[in-house]
Amino acid sequence: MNKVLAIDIGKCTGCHVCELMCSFRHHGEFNPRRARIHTTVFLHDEIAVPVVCSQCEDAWCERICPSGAISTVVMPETGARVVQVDEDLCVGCKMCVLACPFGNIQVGAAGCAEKCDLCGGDPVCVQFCPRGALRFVEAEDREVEKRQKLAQALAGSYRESE
Amino acid sequence: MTGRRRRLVILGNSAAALSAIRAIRSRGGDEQVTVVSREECHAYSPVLTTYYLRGVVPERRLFLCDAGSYRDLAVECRFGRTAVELDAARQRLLLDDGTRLDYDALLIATGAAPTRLGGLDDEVAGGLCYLRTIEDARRIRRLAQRARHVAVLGAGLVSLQTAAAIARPGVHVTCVVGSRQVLSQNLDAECAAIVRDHVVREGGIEFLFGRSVAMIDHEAEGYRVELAGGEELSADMVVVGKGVTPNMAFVDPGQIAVERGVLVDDRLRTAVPDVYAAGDVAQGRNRISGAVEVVANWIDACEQGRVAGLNMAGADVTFPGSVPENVTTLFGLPVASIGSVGAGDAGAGLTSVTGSCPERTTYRRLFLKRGVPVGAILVGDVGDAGVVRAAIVRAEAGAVPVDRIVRGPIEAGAVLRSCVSTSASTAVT
Ligand SMILES: Cc1cc2nc3c(=O)[nH]c(=O)nc-3n(C[C@H](O)[C@H](O)[C@H](O)COP(=O)(O)OP(=O)(O)OC[C@H]3O[C@@H](n4cnc5c(N)ncnc54)[C@H](O)[C@@H]3O)c2cc1C
Ligand code: SF4
Ligand code: SF4
Repeated sequence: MNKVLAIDIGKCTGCHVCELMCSFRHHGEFNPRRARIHTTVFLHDEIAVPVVCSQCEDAWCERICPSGAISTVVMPETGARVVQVDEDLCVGCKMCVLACPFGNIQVGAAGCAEKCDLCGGDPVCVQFCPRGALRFVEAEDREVEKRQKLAQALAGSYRESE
Repeated sequence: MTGRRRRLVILGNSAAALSAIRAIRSRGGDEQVTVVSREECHAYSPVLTTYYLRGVVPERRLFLCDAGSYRDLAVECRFGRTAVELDAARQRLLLDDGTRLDYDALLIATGAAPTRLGGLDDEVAGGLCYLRTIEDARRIRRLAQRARHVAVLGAGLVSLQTAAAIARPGVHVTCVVGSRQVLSQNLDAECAAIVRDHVVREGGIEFLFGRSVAMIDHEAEGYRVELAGGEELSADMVVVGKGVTPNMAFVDPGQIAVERGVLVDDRLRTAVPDVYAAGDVAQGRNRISGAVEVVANWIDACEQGRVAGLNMAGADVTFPGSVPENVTTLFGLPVASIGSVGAGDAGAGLTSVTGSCPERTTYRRLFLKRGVPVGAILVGDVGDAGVVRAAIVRAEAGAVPVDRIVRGPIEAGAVLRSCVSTSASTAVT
């Protein structure tokens, strides 16, 4: 098992339920600005693009954190890879904010970096997405893998040194 | 294949060196790795020293490694040893204790040291403070506890962060600045003025712009700093931040080409086979301007170190080039600078688009060259710095939503979208 959070851009309607549930889960308030998933809606061409941390392999944020506060762990139950921030080590320098090409890690009001933690193994955004645009599924799914790669290639193209 | 294990020597024990070692080990080979550093201690983060000065983190939190980390990485440590001579022809490194290390591949990751102020008597020179190492930080912290008036020479990133860390009620900090603005390497004049006003207002720091130091002398309680125009100021502590100079005295320029730093190609190789360089000591291609220059920042040191390490371990990876970039927070005001931003004399040929939102104290400026975004400065709200960076770095590939970026925080989706429409057909394959 090796689960990933997969996004199907075509199915997203831009309803922002994921953002509300995410901020509620992590901060106890329905405030999209504090969510760790963000959906950009393009009214003009009727497209909505949800963006959330892809728990990168060899993550940019982890590679450059100057206080060694970011590490990757694999959840035992789901085999999901999670890139996580140790709040005790983070100094809030925002270097990770500069390094992540997707804006998926932010320094919050508490002065500490915040990012998607897959809700410990059962992401609420997935539970509440009314259209099934967000799914928590096996990465072996070739389609999922391809879509993730595409998303990374498009937004990333950052340090495509490998 | 039986043969002996390849010997890799890593010179330095900081951002570039550690990234290289991790990259080497990520390939799973059985190379014998030796790390040499002139400092006795385990690797630490110079970036965090100002947090330590401010009392935000205790000293132990500066460290990135402990003895176990090196054991886990299976590296042999030679700490407290300075490289004195690199004989690239014989593939041999000489250390200050007379040890010779033979290598199959070597990485120069010796970083840089603060540029020293010249023309002073030895005793005065020895009393000045510079900030780079953990030892420097300990000294500044000790002296700052008793200081009442501190003179900081320079207004670059390290100087300002140091000034901000030292300033507190009862301690007056004066920054003496050669140029007419703060952060002249990172910001254009207009953004610099916003940052200056904030620092003056919030931190009570005094700036003397357009002044150069003529002489520094001892005085009863401390130092007398004489400025070129005849002005003088007294300080019981002087901190100098006049930029950095790469640590490459052990390199023979007859063997390995050097300019401002050690010259490297896009695989981080120096002019000599099997000798690599990465981090603040290396001079390579700027990804945005194309210039061959020393780009000295933590992120770049990590990324260069990583690519050098992979290549030393047998991979063939190219480095896309360095990006001048920095993010800092001064008295609560975050400032990010990415790419070519018209700082110093690099402003030629750049145009800019500006957006601001005074009530939220946000200000942002995007710099363009022939219509293509090449840099950005974000003040106040830097949450989208990474997205803006990615957009600039891939600017030639598609439409960067310039207006969206200067108007306010942009989401990755917006950049993604413009990329989807311009390059999806080619990227899917
Ligand atoms: C106070 C401060 C704040 C900073 N803030 C930021 C920031 O916010 N953002 C940012 O991007 N960057 C920042 N920097 C810059 C950043 O720290 C450097 O870019 C980074 O450390 C470069 O890493 P490096 O591995 O190239 O070299 P260094 O960190 O300079 O390390 C060099 C290593 O080589 C060793 N060494 C040197 N010479 C020899 C020799 N002859 N023999 C053996 N060993 C040797 C040293 O002991 C050390 O281990 C800051 C720096 C300072 C000092
Ligand atoms: S925060 Fe960004 S860089 Fe870090 S793992 Fe997530 S997507 Fe990757
Ligand atoms: S903000 Fe925290 S997690 Fe991000 S780079 Fe700085 S110390 Fe690391």
